[in-house]
Amino acid sequence: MSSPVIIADKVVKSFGSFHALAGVDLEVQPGECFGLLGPNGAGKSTFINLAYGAISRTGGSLKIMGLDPETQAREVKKRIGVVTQENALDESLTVEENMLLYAAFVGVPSAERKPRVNELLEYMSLSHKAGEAIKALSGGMKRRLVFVRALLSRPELLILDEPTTGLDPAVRHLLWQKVHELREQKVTILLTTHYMHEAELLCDRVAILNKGQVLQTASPKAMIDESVPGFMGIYSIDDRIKQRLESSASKDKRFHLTFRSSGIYLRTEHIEDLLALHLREQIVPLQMRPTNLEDVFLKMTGEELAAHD
Amino acid sequence: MTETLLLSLHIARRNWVVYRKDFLANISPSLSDPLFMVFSLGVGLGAMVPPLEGRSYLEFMAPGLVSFTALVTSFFECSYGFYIRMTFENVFLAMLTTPLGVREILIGEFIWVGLKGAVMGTCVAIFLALFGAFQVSWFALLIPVVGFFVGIGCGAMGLIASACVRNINQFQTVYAWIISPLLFFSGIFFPIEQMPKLAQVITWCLPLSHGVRLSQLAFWQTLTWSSFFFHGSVLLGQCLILSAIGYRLCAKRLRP
Repeated sequence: MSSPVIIADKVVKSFGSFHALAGVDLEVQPGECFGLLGPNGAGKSTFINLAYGAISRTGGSLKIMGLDPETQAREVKKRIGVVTQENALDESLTVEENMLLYAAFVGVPSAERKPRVNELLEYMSLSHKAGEAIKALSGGMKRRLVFVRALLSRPELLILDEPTTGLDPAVRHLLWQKVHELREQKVTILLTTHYMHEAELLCDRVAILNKGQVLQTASPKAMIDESVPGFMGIYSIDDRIKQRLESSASKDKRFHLTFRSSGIYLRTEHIEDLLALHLREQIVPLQMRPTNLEDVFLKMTGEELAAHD
Repeated sequence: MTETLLLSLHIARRNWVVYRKDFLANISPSLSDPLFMVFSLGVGLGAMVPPLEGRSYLEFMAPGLVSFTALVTSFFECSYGFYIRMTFENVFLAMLTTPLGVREILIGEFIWVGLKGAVMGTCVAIFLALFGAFQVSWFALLIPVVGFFVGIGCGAMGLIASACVRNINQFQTVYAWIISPLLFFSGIFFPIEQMPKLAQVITWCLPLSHGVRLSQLAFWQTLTWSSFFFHGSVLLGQCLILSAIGYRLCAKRLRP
């Protein structure tokens, strides 16, 4: 088995007395899509900045494709592509000029730059915009162009830092499709996202990061099965419903009741139990669905309140 | 080192691509200011001014305009231009994910302002020669070199300002209280020796005055090896010190 693309061993990054990363351990295998999830301020962006050597660590060891990004940043950056959280496109240049400049930055020989740029613009359905100013692009097009920029180096590791934030569903689906295609080409992917559905759809494994520490690493399915197996009933915040659900949950250990700002959540392992409860208590849920990564995330990061809290 | 230089040249090339897009608008102030100064001060006011250091006023002030142009073009590029690229356009953020580092970005900016200072200074010198303000000689080969180093030194001052200002308006303060006095008191319009001793010391500590002096000696064909080495080495030393400070401060600002 080939060695991991990313090996983080007790990585610490402090800013003064604040520990953005407080001993992160993780490994990302070749060809894997690995999700780094966590609330704002959990340390995801700090980890990414460390991964391409933009900042230096306070402690621990970090290897990217066997290289130390702190001392071998240029070598690391030749082999990776980064879809930055902000587009940071050069608005003084056209679409094509932007990409030709970045092709030069990543070391594409001058004779190959134009064909490479054209090929990738075509891949992201942006060929017709090659001569346009960046300002003339929609938000979705700009994001696709950032993907083109990240792919110019034909990266072995692609880092996606919240790649679909703020995009409409059509563009999001297009980008997901591209990520799937890249995975088929055995590109290793490190993804950070706030969309749990996105992580569940794309990632082989995810790590949940909170307050600079990895709480758990597993496949999304394993994480769901272990942490919040079953089905979720979601109810409006109503005193009558709350009273009935609390009463049922306190008597029956199969029910797990939690409160979120968006509603009341009741989980059971078997959907039949939920249906029986609804009939018995004359309650109509807003929604019933299988549990998902968002439920795991909220449980693990302490963003939800259990009925007994 | 070769790779660093090659990557830095891409930054300079990027700035050139942007510059040439609006070439006329960009080049106009660099050339129009010296042009109007020659007419208004050199020809107009000069007619009423007695000879200075044995020369007409036009001949006296013309050489300094080379350094003046290098200063203005490099300071504006590294203050407003660099600041906008760094904060509003945020172009360096994505560059840092490529094999470029802070070092390549800043060296590229220095190369760009140095070349800009050299080319602009030379353009002004050609114009002055056509106008008859100086006799072309081998000494004229020094003009682009002076323009290059004045560009680097004054560009470094722009980078220091970019790293220190809290918003873009604060450049006006820098321009009003540092750059304007530099322009007026660096020996372009009257000999530095006319000023009080303390003012002379301050003036000689800044890069423009040595650039002006080198341009004057080259234009007047009175450059000696000793004056070349003295002013040249001081100018070089000032460039190194200012560049090191500018580099250090901007490197901090550029890192995520």
